[in-house]
Amino acid sequence: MNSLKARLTIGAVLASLAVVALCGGLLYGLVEDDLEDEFDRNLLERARAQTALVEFDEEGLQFEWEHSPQIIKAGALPKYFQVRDLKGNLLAHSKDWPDKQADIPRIDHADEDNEDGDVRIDGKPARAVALRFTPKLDDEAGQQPPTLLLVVAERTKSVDETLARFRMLLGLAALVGVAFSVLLLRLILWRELKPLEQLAGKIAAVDESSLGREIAIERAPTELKPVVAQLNALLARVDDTLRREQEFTAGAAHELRTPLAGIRGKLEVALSRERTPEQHREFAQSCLDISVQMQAIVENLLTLARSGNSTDAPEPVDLREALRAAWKPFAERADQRGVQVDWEFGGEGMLNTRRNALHVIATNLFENAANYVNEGGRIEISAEAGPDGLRLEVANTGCTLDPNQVERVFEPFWRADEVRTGGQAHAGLGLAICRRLAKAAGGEITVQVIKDRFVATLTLRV
Amino acid sequence: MRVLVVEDYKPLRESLVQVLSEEGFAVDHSGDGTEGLWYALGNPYDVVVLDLMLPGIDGIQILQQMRAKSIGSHVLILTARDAVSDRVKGLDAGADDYLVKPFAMSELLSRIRALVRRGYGRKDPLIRISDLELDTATRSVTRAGKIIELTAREYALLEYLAMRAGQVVSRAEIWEHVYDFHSDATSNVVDVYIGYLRKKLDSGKRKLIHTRRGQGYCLQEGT
Repeated sequence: MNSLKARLTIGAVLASLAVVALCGGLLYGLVEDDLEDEFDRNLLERARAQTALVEFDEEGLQFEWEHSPQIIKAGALPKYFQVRDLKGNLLAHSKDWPDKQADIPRIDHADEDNEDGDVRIDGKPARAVALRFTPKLDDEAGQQPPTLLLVVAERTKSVDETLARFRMLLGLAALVGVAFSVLLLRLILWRELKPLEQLAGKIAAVDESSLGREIAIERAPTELKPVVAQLNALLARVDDTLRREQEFTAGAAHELRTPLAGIRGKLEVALSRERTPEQHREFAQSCLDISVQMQAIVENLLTLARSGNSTDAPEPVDLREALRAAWKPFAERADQRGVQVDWEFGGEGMLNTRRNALHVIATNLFENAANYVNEGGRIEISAEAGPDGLRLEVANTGCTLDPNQVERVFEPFWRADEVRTGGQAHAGLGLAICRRLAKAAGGEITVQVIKDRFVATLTLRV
Repeated sequence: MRVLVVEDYKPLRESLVQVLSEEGFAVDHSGDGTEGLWYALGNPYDVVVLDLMLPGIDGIQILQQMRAKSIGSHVLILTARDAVSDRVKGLDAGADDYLVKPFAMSELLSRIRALVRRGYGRKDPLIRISDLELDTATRSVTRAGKIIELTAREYALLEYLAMRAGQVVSRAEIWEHVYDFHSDATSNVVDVYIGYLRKKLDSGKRKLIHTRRGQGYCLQEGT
């Protein structure tokens, strides 16, 4: 599961469990050590006290408790004790601990007189202290007293019970602590991640009509602010694109109205009164011409719609060949009109570029020049390819455009001069398409009017 | 009546000119804004049919210049732009009517006739002078209930006189409102056509077309 909340929760649970385990373990260890140490100390003290009851005189070892039963009765002696010699022989023991084989602690170090350890008494866990001592010497002893070992033991039941209770309490506290911290974490997460949910909700609510409105979330955390800002920027871009497309579609529909009005007009005139067959033929021909023109408009519109996302990839193109091929359809008519065409090529012959885009742009620029050039005028085509790209300049004489109005040539459907186009079905979309295509291919088209020359320049960066 | 058509789209311009001519209007036309403005400023058109998207200067600018120079011709804007904002812009710039393409010719003609009536301060499409009745919508003329057949030119002349019934109309005014640039006529054609009209209208009846020596003609009952 890929949930942030789940992952954070699991992480927190594991972390707090680890912390609790560590602390709890440490605490438990300390307490356990403490209790054991106290137990052992207590045992040692009692052992030491008991060694005072052992004497050595001329008759040998004297255990005072054997002579004075009231000591045992008073409970002054430990319940479990044994006295051994250094060879391990059992010299005396308490009633309850006759076990000769008892596993008593060994005193390893010479400078230590005692050692503690775990023993088992009647199969139950106990703790024992072994104390090396020398019995009190009676003046009349005559020889040195033997070194003896007093082992005192006690069952660890109460300590074990205490520790068990402590373990349980620690465990409970840990559980409660972890549960509480998980709940707290979930609460905090729920609260702090609310802005994310809010954002998701607002994004889901965005539709075409609300693209223009900015998304805002209350008390947005710093981390979300850049996301929201970028989202709003994206929405603005999408809104802008959508609006431009809508405007273009509306504009295109509008422009189709003009040829439609033309057809309608012709037909209404044809039918308004008695006409001769010859007149009807003329009307029919006019309608046909206009229909063909509308077809060209529609084709151009489709090209323009498609040009936005060009799937044409860069490939090596022979510049001369491509440009001459694009000019070919216009060559004959230009020739007939006495137009002189000058070509100039510079730089590399081959260029890495989008073939289709170049072809469409060049064709449109040439068509424009061929349509607007004056009879007997001149068209200059100069192309220069270099490492950073292509520069194509197409100029024609016979331009009567106002230099200040020159940018209007990019307006879809704007025609500079209907009279001069000779009714050719180019529909005024050419330069709008060119600019779109050029931009999509990473370049641009600029136009200028210098005296009577119209100059269109395409720069394509590679 | 004289109409100016300024429309850059050739097929439509041709249709408009043909229909209007066949309806008896004197029609001048242009496909260019600058040329259209020159026409509009130089002649007293009854109606100017004006497209907005024109080469040279656009329709709105032509309209503004006409109004600035107090040219009183009624202007009907003919355009593909149909948004409310476009209509408001056109009408506020001084246009009298607005028609969106594509349109029905019959509607265009009706609107032009309405603008003509307005130009002459008339509400009623029927003009009655004594027992003469002109139905400007159908272009039919009756006198004392009897239909009078007139040629297109004759009707145009009569309609102009009738619109200005009771006023003295000079030959120059008739020339300017009933003939266009493409007429091969000379100025005395007016007198000739007045003669034709009198023959068809006034012969044997009470005279309606009166001559005002040195001033022109006047259509009215009595002197």
